[in-house]
Amino acid sequence: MVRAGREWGITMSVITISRGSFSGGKMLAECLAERLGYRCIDRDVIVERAASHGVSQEELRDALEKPPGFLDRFSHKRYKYLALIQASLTEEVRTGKVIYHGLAGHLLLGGGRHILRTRIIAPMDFRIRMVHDRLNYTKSEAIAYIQKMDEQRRKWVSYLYGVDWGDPSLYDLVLNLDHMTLETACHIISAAVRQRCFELTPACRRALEDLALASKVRAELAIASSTEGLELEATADNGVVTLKGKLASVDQLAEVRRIATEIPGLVDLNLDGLTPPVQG
Amino acid sequence: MDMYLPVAGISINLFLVVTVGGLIGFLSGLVGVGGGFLLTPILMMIGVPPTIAAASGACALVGTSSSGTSVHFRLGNVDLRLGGILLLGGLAGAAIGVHVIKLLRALGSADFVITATYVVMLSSIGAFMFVESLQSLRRGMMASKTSSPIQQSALLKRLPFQMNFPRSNVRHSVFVPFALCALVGILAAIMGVGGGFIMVPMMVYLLRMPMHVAVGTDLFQILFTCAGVTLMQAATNQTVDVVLALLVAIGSTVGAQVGARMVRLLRGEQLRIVLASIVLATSIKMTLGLLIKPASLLASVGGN
Repeated sequence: MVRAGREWGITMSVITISRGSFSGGKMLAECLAERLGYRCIDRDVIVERAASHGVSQEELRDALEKPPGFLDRFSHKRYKYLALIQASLTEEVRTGKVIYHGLAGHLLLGGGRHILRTRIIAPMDFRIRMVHDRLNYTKSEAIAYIQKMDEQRRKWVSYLYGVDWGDPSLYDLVLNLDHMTLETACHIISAAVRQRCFELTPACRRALEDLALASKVRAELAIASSTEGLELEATADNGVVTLKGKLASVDQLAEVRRIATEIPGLVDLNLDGLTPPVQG
Repeated sequence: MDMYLPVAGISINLFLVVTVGGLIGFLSGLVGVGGGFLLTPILMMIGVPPTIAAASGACALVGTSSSGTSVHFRLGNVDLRLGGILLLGGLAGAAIGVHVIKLLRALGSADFVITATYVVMLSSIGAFMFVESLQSLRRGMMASKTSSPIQQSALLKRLPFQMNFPRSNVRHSVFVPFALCALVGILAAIMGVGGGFIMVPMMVYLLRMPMHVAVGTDLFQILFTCAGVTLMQAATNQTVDVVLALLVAIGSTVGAQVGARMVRLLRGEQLRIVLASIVLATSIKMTLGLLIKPASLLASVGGN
């Protein structure tokens, strides 16, 4: 029987599931979706939405999966793609009642009492079996494949967010599946999300809308030709967007203002943290 | 193509000077940091005497900062009240600096003092930039770059002659911006730098000014302080080579435009470490120049 969140009298939040590849993240997300009546979204949904800006889905997937190569580090492409992906994800989850089991959800959405960031650690045997079932790899091939994927993920997180992927402080709940089934994990997470500490209060809903607005501003600036190449930090508070970062020329200040003020939902814009090039 | 510079008293390749200006402009445009502190030492390396390099560097800054100032002014990024006080401080400092150079020239040690000051400054800036770049690379491209605000000293609030600066939305004693810019004026006269790399962080963290107003107001004071330095150096020490300054300014302006356009393709932040390495290498080269016995002992004498 599906017991939806509303029926249980609980409020709606966002759950992110982080894990190594082939750890059963999708199965866990589906179990949670059934128990809580939440919507389940994965990487493909986000990539498809982000690709509507005219970027190829393949490149977006690469940006989300592969660590940047040496030459990528000198290009703005990765920033642009991740800004688009973040804007798409925040737009998808802004109404709450969502489980995101794609990559880097906890990093793209950040924390907050309305977001339950979970991580599951599956035993190697389980993962090997999953690789074998899906890709028909031998045991040694599966181990090599899993290790390669984990290493890629570790590098990706380290380079783009400067943190250790396995650091438990990045999550609200870490579950080791060594002596626990996916069903038990599903039960624990659904019990946790029913606690008041993860409810979506009006303030939390506002925080999600602010995150979506800030991400939208960042993405629009990343794709506009006159501000392309700017890597800015955007935050929003009750619709007031604050931008920080370096400009390539002082003229871009007016361009940033023009592009940002056209975005629906923006109440005011604070550009005090934008730095034009320093001369002398 | 060699060209004789009458004030510097040397023949120099025209394209070399323009290229030096262009390269520094390109790097500063790409990375977003003024290259004034690199211009004088590189001019010295290509054979321009230190006193001429510093004074002509300040003159070149008048040219390169004028267009930027007008754009900032048009966008309302210049706090005229604060800029006026900064300018007074800058000119007072410049007058002190020009007379210090005059005194040092009379003593025959102006070139040594300029070179030694540059060694100290470039080592500090280079080391700071290098460490900052490394930290930035480790922090991650998508990570939050917000740094925790520095607590403003209570002493600053107790100083007399407090004044409101509405454009910057701050209140300070007039002594603070005046003293800061007097220091920068001395640097402008001795080293030929505008001091933006010192002033802008000071204005943001100490005076709590918005970033773009700090940059615009600083550029405004650089333009007039360097114009003042140029006039004073020309009148007092006769060390301004306008032709040299013009060539550098042309190269630098074009280079900065190219650099700013390249920012769309290249991540300047990644290249900041390259600029830091160039600054450190320059300081090492200058230190060796001070320590190693020259090929001709006559070359090390004078320099005025």
